[in-house]
Amino acid sequence: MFTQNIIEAFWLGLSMGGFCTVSCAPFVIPYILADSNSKFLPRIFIFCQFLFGRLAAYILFAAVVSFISISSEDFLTMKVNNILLIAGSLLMITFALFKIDFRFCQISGWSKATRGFPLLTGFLLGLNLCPPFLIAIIKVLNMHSMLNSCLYFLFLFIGTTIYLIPVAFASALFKSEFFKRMGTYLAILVGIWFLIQGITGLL
Amino acid sequence: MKLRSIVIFIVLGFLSTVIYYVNYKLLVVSLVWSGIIALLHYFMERTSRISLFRTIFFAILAFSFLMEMHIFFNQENSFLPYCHIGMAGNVLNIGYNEFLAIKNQTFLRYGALSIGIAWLLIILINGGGFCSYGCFFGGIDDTFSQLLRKPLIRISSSTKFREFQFALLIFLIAISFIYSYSVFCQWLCPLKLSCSIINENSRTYMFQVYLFIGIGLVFLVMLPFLAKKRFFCSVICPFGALPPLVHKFTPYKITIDKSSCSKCGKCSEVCPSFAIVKSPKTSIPHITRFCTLCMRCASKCPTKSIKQTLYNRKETSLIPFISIMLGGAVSLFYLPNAIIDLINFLCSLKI
Repeated sequence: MFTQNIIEAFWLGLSMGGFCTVSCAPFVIPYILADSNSKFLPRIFIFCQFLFGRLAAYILFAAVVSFISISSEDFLTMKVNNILLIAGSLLMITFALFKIDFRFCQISGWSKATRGFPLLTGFLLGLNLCPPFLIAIIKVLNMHSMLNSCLYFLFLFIGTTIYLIPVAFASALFKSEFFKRMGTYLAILVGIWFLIQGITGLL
Repeated sequence: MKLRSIVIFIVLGFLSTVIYYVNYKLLVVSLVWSGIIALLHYFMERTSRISLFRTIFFAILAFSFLMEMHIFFNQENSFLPYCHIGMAGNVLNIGYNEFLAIKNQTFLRYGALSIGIAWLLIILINGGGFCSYGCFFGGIDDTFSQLLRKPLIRISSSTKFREFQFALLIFLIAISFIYSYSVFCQWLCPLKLSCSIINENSRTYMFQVYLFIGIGLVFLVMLPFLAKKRFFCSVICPFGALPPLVHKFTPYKITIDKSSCSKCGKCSEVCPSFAIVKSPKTSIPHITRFCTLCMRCASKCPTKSIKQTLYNRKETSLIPFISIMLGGAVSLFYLPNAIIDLINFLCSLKI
């Protein structure tokens, strides 16, 4: 079960990572990297700061959510949980189908405000409440364990970061229409999967 | 009779003997079927109506599979090592099982290292050809896509449409690995209606039943019939995403001769796999990596500009030969049983 949760978190991260890549990251990462000089190591350092900021946001979020779930054991019944899962997945499908921008956090505005602070930019970007992130929260609410919740979000972070690393160095590649479409299709499929899980959970 | 057709009969006849040497009834039927395949190939070469005879062969193959595995339920006698469609989406689990087997110093008879490599070789040799000659699923929507003379719904070819399959394949591989079962077989395969619904009373299983019926009706029957396109193979089938991935390395391809092409767009219109797109600049159609070598485009081309080629260069006529041989070899595992069961069924009706 523990391993399954970790793989699921990683997979969810992979599915939302596509959207992070095509909608948010191209705005932020070249901007961060543009702040540094052209040498390789300083660029890596800045990028690592940005990632660390994101990781801190993810872990903090997991800790808060799991604290809520532990302090109120019956906070959510299974039914409410499944309804939330259905709502989250429907939102995810709708956003993917109608190509609605995932940038809830007004990232371009934030990135301007946090110019020169990649750690802060990463932290704020990590708190982006997009639909896959909401699904992860619902999953974590069910765990009632702070360690498991933090690990879930850690692997969610790793899943999304896989996309961000090449983007940082080859953002032109991921600007292609093919990757955008792949991101959309994957988001729809993952949304449908969680929708089915929610429906069968209610049945 | 042309030499290639004789070679087909000899190879398939030998294979029939190897498989059915203990059962003379099945051996005879198998040899007759090998002869029919050789004859169909002969007519393909003699009349150049490759698409027509391919359709006949493909329809027999697919509907006999449907009859044997899902109507007569003869899954014990008929033998299919592994469904290529289920395997494509379940590849990580199969690889993991093989790993466990090797770790325990055993070897899986039908695992990633045997049947997996066999499928890989088939794709590398024949490209998308297996999807038009050998796939027992493809034959169903291919047949429905040929029933009307003109499509009632017109859908233009677009590779964007076909790219969905790549995403589906990635999704199925990952999600099947997470949950340790083949998600395609459990949730998407319409043929599972007859064989894997264990508990019909459970609400989840009823949900699956409706899903199977819905997918089967929409993608295997209705859309192919109305639009004359192979929707299941082009959208749902995870195996269908594999040949395009290795298309660059496959030797046999269909190519359009640009010098004689009249740019009428007929090929793009009739392509059932959404594989031919018109270049926006020159209007000359281009055959993409999604081609399944069905040759329907060649049969409709008014200027005969569509040719079989070796690496897009040298002209060849080997595609039907290789494809029908591979498809025929796979069909030997279940088609003779289907014919025997059909004969038995008809005899029992008489009594």
